[in-house]
Amino acid sequence: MLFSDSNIARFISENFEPVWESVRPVPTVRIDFGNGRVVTRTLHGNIATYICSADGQVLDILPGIYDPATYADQLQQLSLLAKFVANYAPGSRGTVLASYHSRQASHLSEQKQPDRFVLTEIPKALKDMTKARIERPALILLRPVPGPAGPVSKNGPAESAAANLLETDSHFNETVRRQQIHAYLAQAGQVTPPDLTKWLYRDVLHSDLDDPYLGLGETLFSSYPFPEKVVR
Amino acid sequence: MSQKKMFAGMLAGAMASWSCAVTLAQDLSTLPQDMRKMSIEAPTKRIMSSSSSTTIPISRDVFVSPKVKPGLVRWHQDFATACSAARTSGKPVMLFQMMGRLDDEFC
Repeated sequence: MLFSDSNIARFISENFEPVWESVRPVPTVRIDFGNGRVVTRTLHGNIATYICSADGQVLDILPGIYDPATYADQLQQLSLLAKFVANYAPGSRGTVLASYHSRQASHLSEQKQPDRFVLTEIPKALKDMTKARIERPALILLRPVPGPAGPVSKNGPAESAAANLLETDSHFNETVRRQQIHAYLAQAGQVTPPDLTKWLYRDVLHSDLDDPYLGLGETLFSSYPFPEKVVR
Repeated sequence: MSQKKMFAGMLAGAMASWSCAVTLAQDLSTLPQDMRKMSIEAPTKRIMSSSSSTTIPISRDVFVSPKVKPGLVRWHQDFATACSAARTSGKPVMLFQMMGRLDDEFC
């Protein structure tokens, strides 16, 4: 579990005010082999990490499950995003945020790497200007990253298939799903998590919360040869 | 359960079975002696289909996942509390949304 990783847990506790909530019970699959052995699994992956301002407005979202390295990297980026937006006057933060999402959505739709936030030293000329600027330890800039977007495997061939699968999921989250989220937030204006939870689960994570079968009904029932034995 | 109630339950079950058996016997008595397998099974199937459910009964045993510690993160109780803390600390809120519960083993 991601939150049992001490480095990730420490980073979260030091940089965020964390909270978790359940949107519905998790689907569980149980196979009773009839000999005393029962295997229980959950259909996981339907998770989302929202980063919000103190007034509850959504700044950005990480959709789905990630490998620990990518998750930590993206949390750091979103921590910088929050600081970046907070540097602006309250009246212009909405515009800055919409511009950020629009730019990232555009990059991803063009198969380019999204821009990244970087911390940089304050130039000497700026340091000399005002006391407030001197007290700011560094500037946060949004900079382009050269090269096309693509998966960067951190696992060698000896690593487990599960880890590679998680990296594939992370890449999909960071390209296809993240592009959808950036495009949505670029247009949405100020929204809180309840405003977009149903959209996120239905259109991005493909688990419609209003559907009791979470979109699996067709798969489960359409070709099952014993419809009279199906309990719905 | 008292012995009286148990006996009443058993009696009701026996009466239902007996009623079924009589219906089946009456059905079979009208049929000729020399019959094929399918012909013999058909009336029985008719009775069974009218007296029993066509679906598998839903198990009332609800699976309860064991509780676990939700990782090493110090979580706030709810979103409002996290927002309140964020106004004091200046940190952004991180909302982890999921199906299931983070403090369940199966989540």
